[in-house]
Amino acid sequence: MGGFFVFLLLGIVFLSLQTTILSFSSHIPVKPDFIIIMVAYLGIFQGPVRGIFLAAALGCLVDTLSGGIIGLFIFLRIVTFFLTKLACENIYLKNALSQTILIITLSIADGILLLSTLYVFSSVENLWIFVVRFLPIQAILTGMFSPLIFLILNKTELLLEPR
Amino acid sequence: MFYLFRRYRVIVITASLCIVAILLISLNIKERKKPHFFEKIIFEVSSPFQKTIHLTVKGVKTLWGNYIFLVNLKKENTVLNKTINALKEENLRLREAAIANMRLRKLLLFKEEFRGSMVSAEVISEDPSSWFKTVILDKGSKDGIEKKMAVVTSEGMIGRVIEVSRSVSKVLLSTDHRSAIDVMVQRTRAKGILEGRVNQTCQLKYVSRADDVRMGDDIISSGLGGMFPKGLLLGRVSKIKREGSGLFQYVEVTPSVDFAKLEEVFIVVGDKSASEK
Repeated sequence: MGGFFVFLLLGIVFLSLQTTILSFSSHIPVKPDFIIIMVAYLGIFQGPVRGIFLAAALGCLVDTLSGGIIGLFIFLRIVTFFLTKLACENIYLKNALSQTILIITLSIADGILLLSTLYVFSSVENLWIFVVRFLPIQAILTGMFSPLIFLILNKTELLLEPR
Repeated sequence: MFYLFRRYRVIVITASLCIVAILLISLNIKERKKPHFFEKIIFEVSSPFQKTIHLTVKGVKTLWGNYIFLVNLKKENTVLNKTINALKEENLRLREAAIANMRLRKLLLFKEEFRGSMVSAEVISEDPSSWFKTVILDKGSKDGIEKKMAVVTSEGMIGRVIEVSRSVSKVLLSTDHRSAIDVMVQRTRAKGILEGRVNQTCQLKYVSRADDVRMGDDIISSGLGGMFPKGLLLGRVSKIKREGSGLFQYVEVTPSVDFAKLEEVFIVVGDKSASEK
């Protein structure tokens, strides 16, 4: 249970960094998504039940701080976790390169799923062009940060549950 | 039954949580409800982290700008002198244009009227998602902030408050794709709706093809609906298209505020009807 709350606290810290320091410029109006990296980590290294609830909780954190519809990021993060679990069963994901590629792929899938969900529930008239244009950049930025985030999460887990 | 659940528990739990999430989306699609107790806790827990990081970054920037970066001062001085000369020429041109002069006076008078009914706030963080445009301010309900209050800077209006907690509040920026503000062209009083287009621009919709709109026209809030005070500057027309046979013309508006450099803002509190004279 303690590990659950430590992960949530790490989620708050990463979100705080994401919303303050990592706003680059008006020329690159996207930022890396640390929560996708955390959810991917959960999908690779955590059990399914605990991982799903953590992913939902992290999505809830993003929903609260974001201006989007409540429930949107809970849904997106659960699906991201599920996709990671599916990928784990078929692909070797224990090295940095495959993890980075996975996260870039997940970011793109997440953006497409977000557009689809918003299309079902509301209008995406002004949003979809922006997403299509900047999604690859955001995915690459997220992928670049994944080794660092994975390292931090791995060290944290070792501190909590030494083997 | 229990055996079936154990065997497919991952799929069952995933599907259940997805259904709960979709139900939450459906319930909140029209408008975000008042923040729940859990949401308020997350706001209050995360805001000290955001404030601390924001203050640290601000301190480092100040140290860099005031002490370490002085080598560029001479170059900056030369650039500023050139800018001052260019501004002097522009000022002469503006003083000769009667309409531009009256507009600046009206704006100045409007700002002075509101001085007593504005609360200053600082932007402590942005939206964690790249696809939504909101910011969080360091003032909340204990400072008299309420939902739907307009938020402005000295350069113009930036958006409205959509959520309020005890010590922080969330603002939906005018460049967000869900933002829709009743506006008019200041010069011709042609009315329309200003919608955000996320990539730091906005679109002025439902402007009839017969309406006179020109490049550089100022777009101000119309005050219709009583949500925003009248006369707040939102942006300037940067693109016009009248192709095709539609009823409306396509008008793109560049916001007057540089959202990438948003730091201090003012939240309009008090009696909005006092400004609609």
